[in-house]
Amino acid sequence: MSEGRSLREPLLLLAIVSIALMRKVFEQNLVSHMLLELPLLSVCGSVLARRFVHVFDRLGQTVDAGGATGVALALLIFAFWMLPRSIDQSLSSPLLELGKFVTLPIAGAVLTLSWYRIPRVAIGILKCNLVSMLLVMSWIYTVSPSRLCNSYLRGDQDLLGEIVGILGIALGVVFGTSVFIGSTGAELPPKISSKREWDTANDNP
Amino acid sequence: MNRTILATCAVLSLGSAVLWEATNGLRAFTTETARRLEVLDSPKHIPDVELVDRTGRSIRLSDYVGEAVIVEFIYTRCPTICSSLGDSFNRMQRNIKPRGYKARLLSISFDPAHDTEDQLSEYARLHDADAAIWNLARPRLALELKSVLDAYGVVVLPDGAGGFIHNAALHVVGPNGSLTGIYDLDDDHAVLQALARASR
Repeated sequence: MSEGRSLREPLLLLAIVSIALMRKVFEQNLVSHMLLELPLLSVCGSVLARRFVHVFDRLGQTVDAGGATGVALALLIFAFWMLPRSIDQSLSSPLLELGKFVTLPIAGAVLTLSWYRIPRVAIGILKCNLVSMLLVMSWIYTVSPSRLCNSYLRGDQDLLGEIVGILGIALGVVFGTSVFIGSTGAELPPKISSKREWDTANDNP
Repeated sequence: MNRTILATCAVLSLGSAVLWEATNGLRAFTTETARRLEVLDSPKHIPDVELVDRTGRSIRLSDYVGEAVIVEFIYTRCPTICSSLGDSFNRMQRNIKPRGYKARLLSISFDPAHDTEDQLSEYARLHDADAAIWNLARPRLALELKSVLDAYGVVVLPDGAGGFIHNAALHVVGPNGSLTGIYDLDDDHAVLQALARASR
């Protein structure tokens, strides 16, 4: 078990380096670039960070109470990489490409470190936000009359929009369903069968 | 809690500044919009590379002394957008002469291997190009093609069926050789206004 743990971090770092080395494969089309490469980088950062949740907990309680700082940082990084312009520039600018391979694992890591401090209501809001953002992104990519990314074909853009739309609907169904399954917010009041019980329940003399 | 508020505010400020910068003040979310805004904000010098026109003659942008040049990028086999670019140039040439603008039109092919002098001449014939105003050319060397495309911000991708996908627009180069505006191919009004400014 401990050997598995000690191997996990080097393997995850190796995974990030491998994605970087195989970036030409991922970046051949828009769909694998945005739906494989970007999420994989964040997932690597997230899994890597799970090992350090306790290490950073004290610092987190000081500067990241309620997970606000971490969520803000992660959302801003994700927002930047959702811009079609950033995707284009990452292909033409080595500096931005490097930035992508650094910031997205950081976003995943920071979100994981913050996750345990985020209130339940905020997690619900984040889930709603994720679904709405996916649906908006799907709409923009499918209805745009022109190509959003100069580096990719129009067909890739349409396909990405459709897949993201399906993903948004699927996540919306899963999240929406989970809201209505589980413990309820209130207990059923006791059943009243006689006037005396009614008076007692309502404190009438 | 106070430190969290400070840290969150710092992250939000820094992140918003980065997003603001990355989108030209929330005005450009795509590369295409960005290149148009950047040229309007600050005209861009265009390398004066050697081109070969449809008669086999060597030409350069600097040959058009004191004139604005509208540049479009095409490949003659293009069944769609390049034909619309040709129609757009046809409308432009009918406007330039009567209005007395000091302006020329230049179609540059990014498919020099296929677009020989004959192919360019055929494209010119199809779109009724007036040789006095509208010239068609291709870069002499592949390296020069890349430098021209990079300078204008035109991205050309093979479409997998033998053709190309490319961003289509009308590029206005001022008499001093700087790219001063990039416009949609059907935005005649904006292009003519740009020519009027350049002809003053």
